[in-house]
Amino acid sequence: MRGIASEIKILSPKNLKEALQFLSKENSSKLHWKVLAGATDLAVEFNAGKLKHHQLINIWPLRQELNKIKFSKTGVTIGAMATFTEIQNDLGINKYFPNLAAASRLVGGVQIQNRGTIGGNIANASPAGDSLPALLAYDALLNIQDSDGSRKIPITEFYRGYKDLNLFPRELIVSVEIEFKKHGTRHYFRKVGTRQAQAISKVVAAGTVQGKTSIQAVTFCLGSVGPTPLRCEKLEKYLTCPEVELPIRDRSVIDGARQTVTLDISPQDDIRSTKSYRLFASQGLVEDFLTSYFRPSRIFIKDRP
Amino acid sequence: MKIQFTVNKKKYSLDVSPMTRLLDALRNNLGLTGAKEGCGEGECGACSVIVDGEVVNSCLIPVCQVQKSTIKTVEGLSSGENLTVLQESFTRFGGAQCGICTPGILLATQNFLDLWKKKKGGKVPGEAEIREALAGNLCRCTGYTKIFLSVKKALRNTPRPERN
Ligand SMILES: Cc1cc2nc3c(=O)[nH]c(=O)nc-3n(C[C@H](O)[C@H](O)[C@H](O)COP(=O)(O)OP(=O)(O)OC[C@H]3O[C@@H](n4cnc5c(N)ncnc54)[C@H](O)[C@@H]3O)c2cc1C
Ligand code: FES
Ligand code: FES
Repeated sequence: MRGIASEIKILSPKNLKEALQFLSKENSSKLHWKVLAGATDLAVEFNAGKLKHHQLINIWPLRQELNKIKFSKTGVTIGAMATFTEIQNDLGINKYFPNLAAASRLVGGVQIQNRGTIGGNIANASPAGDSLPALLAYDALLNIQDSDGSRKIPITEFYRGYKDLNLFPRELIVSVEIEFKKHGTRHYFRKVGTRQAQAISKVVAAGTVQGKTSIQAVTFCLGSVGPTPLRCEKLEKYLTCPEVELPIRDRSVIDGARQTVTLDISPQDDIRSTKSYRLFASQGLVEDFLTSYFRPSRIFIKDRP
Repeated sequence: MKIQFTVNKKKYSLDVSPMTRLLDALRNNLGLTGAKEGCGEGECGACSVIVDGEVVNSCLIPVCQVQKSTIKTVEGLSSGENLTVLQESFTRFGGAQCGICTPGILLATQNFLDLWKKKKGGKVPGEAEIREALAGNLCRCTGYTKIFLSVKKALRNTPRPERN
C-alpha cells in the first residue's frame, strides 16, 4: 500500500545550526525525526508504504551550506549534500579521485544523480551503495556534527553491521574528507550490474595501488558481498609483500589472491544476485584489478555536461 | 502547508501536505497531466520534470522540497501549437509510440542538450552521450532506436514541420 502524505510531518530548517539544534532537542534520547536529504531512498520507501518514520527533518534547504567541494593542500572536503552530478562534474575529483567520479556516474540515471547526495548514500548504508567502496579504498574520513561540536572518524569505523551505524540520531554527516594519494597511484573502479545504468550493483569494486616494481601499498574494497561495504584486509595483506613483483604476471600470485579474497567476503543470495555468482564475480574483479591496473587508466573518464 | 512555485512560467500557491509528491501536485492540483506515473519508484523516468534547471523524477520529490522552485513540465516545452525542434523530430521519426515515456524523454533530452550547449557550445553530442543522458528513462515500445534517431535528427538537421 502507498504511503499517505497527510500522515507525515515535515520540518524544514533554514540552516545547519537550526537543524542541529532541533535534532539535539528532539532526537537526543531516540530517533523521533528522520533526516530527509535528496529523498531518492526515502521517497521510494514512502511511495511503497514502507517508511517507518512519520516525522521528517528536511535538510534539502541546507544544500547551499553543505554541497561544496573544496580542495586544500592535503586533499578534498566534499559537503555531505553534494549530489552525484556535482561530484562527477568536478574536475579535481575526476583528476585526483577518479574512482569516486566513476562511482558517481554509475549511480542510477541522471535524474537520480541530480538529487541523490553522497551523505545519503553513506547514511543509507546499503551494502551495494556505489560510492562506498570508492570512499573506503581512499581511506575517507567523515565529519559528523551535533549542536555541541564535531567529530571525525574513518569511514571504516562508521559501519558496524548491516545498517548499524556509528551515528547518533541527533547528528548529521556534514562532509567527507579524502587525502591526496601519492603521485603515481593507480585507481581501479568497476561495477557489475544487470545493465549499464540504473541498476543496483551485484558486486562493486574499488582499489588503489602504489609502487613501481613491487606493491608498496594497496587497497581493495567490495560492495554487495557482505552486510556492509568492506575492505578486503586479508587480500591487501597478502598483496603487500616485496616478493610480489609488478606488473603481476605470476599465475600463482593471481590464484592466491583469488583464493584470499574469499576469506574477506560473505556474499548472500538476494533478489539481485546469488551467493555463488557474487563469489565468482569478486574473484574475477580481483584478477581484473591485478592484471589491468598497470595499463593506462582503466577508468573511463568521460566529459559530461 | 503553503507551497509557492513557478510552473511553466506561471506562479502557483498551493495548500498541500509537505510530503505530497510533486507528481501528484502537478497532476491533481494543477491539472498538468504530462508527467506520467510509470513505476513510482524512481526507475522509469516517465514522471521526469525539470526543477531549477535539472531533470528529476517528480515521483520522488516531496513538494516541500520545491518551495520557490522553478519547474518546467512537458506542457511548457512548446509555445502553443508550435512544437520544438525536438518534439517535431519525435513525431516525424517514430520516437513516440504509445507516448507514456515521451514527456519524460523529451524533458530529459532537452535538459541534456541545454546543459551540453552551455558547456560545449556547437559540438554535437554522440550516441554514447545521448544514451547516457537517457539511461534513466525507460520505454516499452520503441526499442530506443527510434528515440535516438529522433534526437540525432533533431541535432543534425532541423526537421521541417510538415504542415499544409
Ligand atoms: C531508481 C534508483 C536508482 C538508484 N541507483 C543507485 C545506484 O546505482 N547506486 C547507489 O549507490 N544508489 C542508488 N540509488 C539509491 C540512492 O539514490 C542513493 O543511496 C543516494 O545517494 C541517497 O541519497 P539521498 O540524498 O537521496 O538520500 P535520502 O533518501 O534523503 O536519505 C537516505 C538515508 O540517509 C540519511 N541521511 C541523508 N543525508 C544525511 C546526512 N547528511 N546525515 C545523516 N544522515 C543522512 C537519511 O536519514 C536516510 O536514512 C538509487 C535509487 C533509485 C530510486
Ligand atoms: S514514475 Fe517516477 S520514475 Fe517511474
Ligand atoms: S513510446 Fe510507449 S513507452 Fe515509450
